[in-house]
Amino acid sequence: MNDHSPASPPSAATGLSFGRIARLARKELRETLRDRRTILTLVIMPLLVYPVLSVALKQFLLTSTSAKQSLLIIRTETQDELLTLDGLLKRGERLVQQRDSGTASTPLSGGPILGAGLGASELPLGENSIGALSPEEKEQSSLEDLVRNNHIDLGIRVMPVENSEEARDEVRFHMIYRPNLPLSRQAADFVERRLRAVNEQDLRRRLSKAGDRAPMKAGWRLIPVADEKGHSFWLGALVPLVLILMTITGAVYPAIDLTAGERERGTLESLMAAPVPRLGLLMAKYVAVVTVATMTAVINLTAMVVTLASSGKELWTFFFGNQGSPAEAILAVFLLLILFAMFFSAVLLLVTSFARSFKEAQAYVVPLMVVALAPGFMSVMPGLTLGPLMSVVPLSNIVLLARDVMEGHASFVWGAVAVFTTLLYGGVALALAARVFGSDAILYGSEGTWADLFKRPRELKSQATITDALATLALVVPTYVIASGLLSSLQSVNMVSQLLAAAGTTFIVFIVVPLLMACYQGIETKPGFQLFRSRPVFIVAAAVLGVTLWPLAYDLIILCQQLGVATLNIDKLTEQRPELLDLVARLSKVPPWVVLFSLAVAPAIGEELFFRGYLLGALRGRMPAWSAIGLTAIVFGLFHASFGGVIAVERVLSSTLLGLALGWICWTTRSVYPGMVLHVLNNGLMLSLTYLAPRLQSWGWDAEGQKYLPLPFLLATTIVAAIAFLLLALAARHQKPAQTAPA
Amino acid sequence: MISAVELTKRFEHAGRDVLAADRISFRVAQGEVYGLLGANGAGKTTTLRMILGLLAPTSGYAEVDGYRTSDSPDDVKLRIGFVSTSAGLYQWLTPRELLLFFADLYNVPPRQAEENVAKLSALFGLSDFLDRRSATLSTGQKQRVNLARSLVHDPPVILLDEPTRGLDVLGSKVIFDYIGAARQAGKAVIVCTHRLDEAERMCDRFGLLYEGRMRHEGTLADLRQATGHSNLTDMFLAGMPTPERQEPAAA
Repeated sequence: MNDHSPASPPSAATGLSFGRIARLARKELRETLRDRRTILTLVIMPLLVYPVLSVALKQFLLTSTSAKQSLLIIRTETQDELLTLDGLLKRGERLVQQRDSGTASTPLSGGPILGAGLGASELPLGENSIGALSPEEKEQSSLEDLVRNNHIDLGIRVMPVENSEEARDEVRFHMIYRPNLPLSRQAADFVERRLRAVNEQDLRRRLSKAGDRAPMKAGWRLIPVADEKGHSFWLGALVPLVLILMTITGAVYPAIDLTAGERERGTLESLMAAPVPRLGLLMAKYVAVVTVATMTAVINLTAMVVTLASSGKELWTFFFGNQGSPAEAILAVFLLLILFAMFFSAVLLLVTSFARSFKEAQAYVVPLMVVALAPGFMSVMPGLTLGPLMSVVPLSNIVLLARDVMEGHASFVWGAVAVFTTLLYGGVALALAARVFGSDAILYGSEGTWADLFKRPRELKSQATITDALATLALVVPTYVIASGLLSSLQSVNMVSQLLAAAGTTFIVFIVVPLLMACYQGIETKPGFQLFRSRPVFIVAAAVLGVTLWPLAYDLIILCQQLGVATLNIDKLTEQRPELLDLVARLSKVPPWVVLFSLAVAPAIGEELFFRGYLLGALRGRMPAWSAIGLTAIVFGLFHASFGGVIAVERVLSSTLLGLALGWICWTTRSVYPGMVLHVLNNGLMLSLTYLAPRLQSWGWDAEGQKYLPLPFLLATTIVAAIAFLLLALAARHQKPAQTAPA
Repeated sequence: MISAVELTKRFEHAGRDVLAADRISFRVAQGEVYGLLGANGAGKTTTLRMILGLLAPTSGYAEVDGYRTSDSPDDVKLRIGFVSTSAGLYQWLTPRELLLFFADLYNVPPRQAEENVAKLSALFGLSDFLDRRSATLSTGQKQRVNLARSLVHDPPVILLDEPTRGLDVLGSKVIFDYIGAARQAGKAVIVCTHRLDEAERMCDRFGLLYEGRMRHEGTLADLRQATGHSNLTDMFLAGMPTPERQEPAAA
């Protein structure tokens, strides 16, 4: 102890580096992986679950699809009845076989049995068990009882016919079957098909005798088809759902143990007393939980693939269709599982950070699991597609995307939206968890509750926090996606109404939602949205930039298209969606002010308020200028990614560059107004290209032919833009700093 | 080394305002052991947590080695070794792994951390169970590991919250030796306890807290003079509220 002199610690407080987080996470992992309970969910569960599931599914396949060549047990009460039935069935069998092989010329209707598409077929008549009850059997129980107790599949009784003089050849049967037993249904169908074939042949013969040789009204054959990959079933979402459920199971225990468990064991206080930021400790725990969840996903995926591969061809085809080695699909599903693990681990940490004990955490997690399962199970329903709505519903979006990936027809746009929103929701959950984890309310059990997290702060603040910004973004993104989906369904409405609806949507998504959120988050409107009065010089310079930046943006798009970076091929798009051409034609008939207001002014004002005013304002002072500007520009660019239902890389690129310019201007001038002017002019001029096309053509530029702008024109606009940027930078140096600096 | 200036903490409890610490001020110098004494709910632990930065004071401030807790929380934490009565160990880690983990949290270079662990192991007699899983240790062994944890970064300030609670005579002796050695090493130590006999043996100066307020402060001689009682127990009982006027204790 004497060796421990009281020399002051040499280094200053510790920072939050990746290395440190990795070391912290390593300790969390070491602790978690040594725990037997983790091993149980990680290894033992998958080893048990998949074989059991595969047996259950096989059974399901067997019963639901009348798996191949099931032996049918059919009984009559007496030998006489059997003789009557047998004669008819043999005749019917011949007709059915002729019809199935396509050799018969007379029977028109039919084809393979209904389950043939699912791989089902039936045994020939002679190989099924068709007989009469023995006297003892008849004594002991009726046909009804035998069918009811599943001893036989079908009971057949010959019934007396009234007016037997007139119908001396007629035989009437009662077929006793159990509707809820597939084999019983199949047996009834088996007999019915043969008897119908006999009846049909008799009918034709009688008509023929009467001289009526006219063809029947309708003839048909059943032709089963599978999709292009050989999928024939709608349960594609079952595999991702099961995998996701298992991933959840893997993440739950470490999430509880590393938060509430730590609090319960009394180690959390020692941890909080260490000079490491709370966010760093939480990030380490997050990395550990995601790692365990990912390991669970890997083990489960491996166990599932091995089980499927060793369960025979039926189950493999059932899930993967006829594709030989679905390695790409499995890899994509694995990546989606990691994405889901990242999202769900964040949500779990948020929930468990509130708990002060293991028990309390479990009480929070169970309802969360139930809530999570509802959309998950919903996604297994047939006919549900990954569109604007489902792509923003957490969990469902990943289940549906994984299903589509497995089936090989995932939509890039909605897949991207699903991935982006999942990451965003995860980010929000993590940011909220950072507010709760290790707070004194949790640490010492003071009056902290869930409500505190969602309570409006008493004191107003001048800018949004990063958590506020993420939460608002998490609301704006789905609102935007759903609203865009709704807008595209307004095709039948007149064009002016469509355009005004678009403007209204922009207003709601980028102005109303952020303003409401800011109000709820206790943010002052003026500084929170950077609504400060701007000097005239800034407005003038921004206007000049608005007029001169569009040629650069335009040429950039052309350059992308020529370099092959572009994904938006207008010819192909209009070929795929001819309504777009119609849209352009209808647009030209609308008064220009409506077009300009809806597609230039409203988006410019809304987007500036949200992206530059609110989002960039939230990052000001919390990260270096160019990081903040770059981040908002990328988000701004991503919002412009979709065009006519396809991803347009060139639009992302040009919008991101425009976002950089707008971000810099807002950062420098500390006001959104100059950016609004630039944005309105830029949008307006890009839209007006169609109106200006003839004049531009006279200058040697062919807008229709998608050629670069004339070089002198481009040079001139670039020089003027550079001067405007310089003017802005110089003028900003003389800006009074006290005007806007947020606290 | 440690200054508490007008530290005040209000909690809201069941819709009621509770004053857990009311303008508490004191100073602790290097090489001094300060006893923060009081009954359960007197505000000892709350004061300690405010000094450490685990609780934000409603008003007032604390400084450690010239750093204010509210302004430089990490600099303050870096200079403090904290032993809490409720501190547990990571069940699945060995004491060695735990000590190295905390050394890393306090930015101790790995080689230095190994040396510190070896020295602390010798000091607290940890070598027999240094590589055993913590879940298998006895209460006394766990407390020794906790003491070693608080010293693994060689802090100039040590805060001890009820360090002898639940320990037998031998376990308590380890604590007394630890405090004695810390004093000798020139560290500033605050000990929170309601074991007044122990406090008399361990501490150089005392602060007597009653319902969140500092009633008396000074050396044992100062307190004797101020209260007219010869030992801490009598002083303490004299300051306690009588049953007639007893009110619910603060947090």
